[in-house]
Amino acid sequence: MRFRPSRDIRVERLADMTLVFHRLSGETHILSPEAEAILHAVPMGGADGPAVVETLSVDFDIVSADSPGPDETILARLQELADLGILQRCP
Amino acid sequence: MRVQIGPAVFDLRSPFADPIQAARTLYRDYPLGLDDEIYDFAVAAIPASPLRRFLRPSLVFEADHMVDDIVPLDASLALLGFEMAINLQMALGYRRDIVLHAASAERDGQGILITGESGAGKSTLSALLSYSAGWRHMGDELALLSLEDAPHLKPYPRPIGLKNRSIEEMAARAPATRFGPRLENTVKGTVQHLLPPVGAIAAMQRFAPPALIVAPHYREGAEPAYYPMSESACYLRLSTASTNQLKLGERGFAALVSVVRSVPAYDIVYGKSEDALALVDRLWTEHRR
Repeated sequence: MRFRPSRDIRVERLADMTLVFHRLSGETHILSPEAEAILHAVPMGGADGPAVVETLSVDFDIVSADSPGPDETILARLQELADLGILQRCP
Repeated sequence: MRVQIGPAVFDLRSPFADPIQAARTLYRDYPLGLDDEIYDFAVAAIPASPLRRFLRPSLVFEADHMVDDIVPLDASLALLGFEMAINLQMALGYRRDIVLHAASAERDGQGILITGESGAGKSTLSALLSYSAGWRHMGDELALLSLEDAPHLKPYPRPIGLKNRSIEEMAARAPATRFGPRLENTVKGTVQHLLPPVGAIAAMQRFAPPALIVAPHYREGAEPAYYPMSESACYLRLSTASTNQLKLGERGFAALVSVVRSVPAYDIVYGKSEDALALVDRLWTEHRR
């Protein structure tokens, strides 16, 4: 499954917080630093989960505290961002 | 009667003459005589029941935007009911600007935004700035931020709702003629309205760009102190303090982010009015543009 950032979001980075305004719902989301890094790693042209993990691995030592592995955790976050409309699934 | 407060015109109604007369007296310096103007919000003070019209009158307040758990008020507290209902209309029904639960004032052509929970000292600090430090009062309960990339504070200079200890404090600083009737035994204790100076009411269409945000914390006996507020803390404070920003779409979002990014914000702690004024003066001197 591939994802790309929605064209209907406005991302504003404050000094210590990232906000995402979603135009279609009118909702404002506060992203955790992890979610913000994941969003940043998704290119406008789209990428699948493993490609996003690979991009993130360049900048981060990825370790998951959850029982699934880091790949699964990142995939779950991608899915959550898609559920909020911040990411869109794409071909 | 119709009265204009800042950008909105209110139509105040009642079958009783006394509440209307009390409102007419309190709002005597505001634009009245607007009976042919289009109004934004109507607020009606009506008898709580048909019998209550004759036996120890008790009032309920009706308007488009109300909350459920409001108890009837004794007719002697009608001004308090009008104040509450007028504030609710702005807080819940006004859409042309961001509405913040905050006070605001202007000096040197720029504005200060004073945000905080009820009881934090907004109204008292607002009254002190107006009557003891030369600031132009713009509002003590609700502040309006325009929906622009570089937002302006817009005046909403309602009578200042002083409570309990603040009443005596301001009695020594403001002319007796600027006080409304003393309202005893309200849910907030004793309340007395203090009319802003005539000049502040006359200037209620003059906007000011915000240059400083403070969150006052009155603590009895506290030494004066101030702490810079982070951008995230400031955003969360203002977003939480706003009654309508989340309904205003992208313009509301962008305007609030712009203010958080561009306006320095501080928590201030004080135990005496003089300390609060000195803290504001110090921060203002440092940050006014």
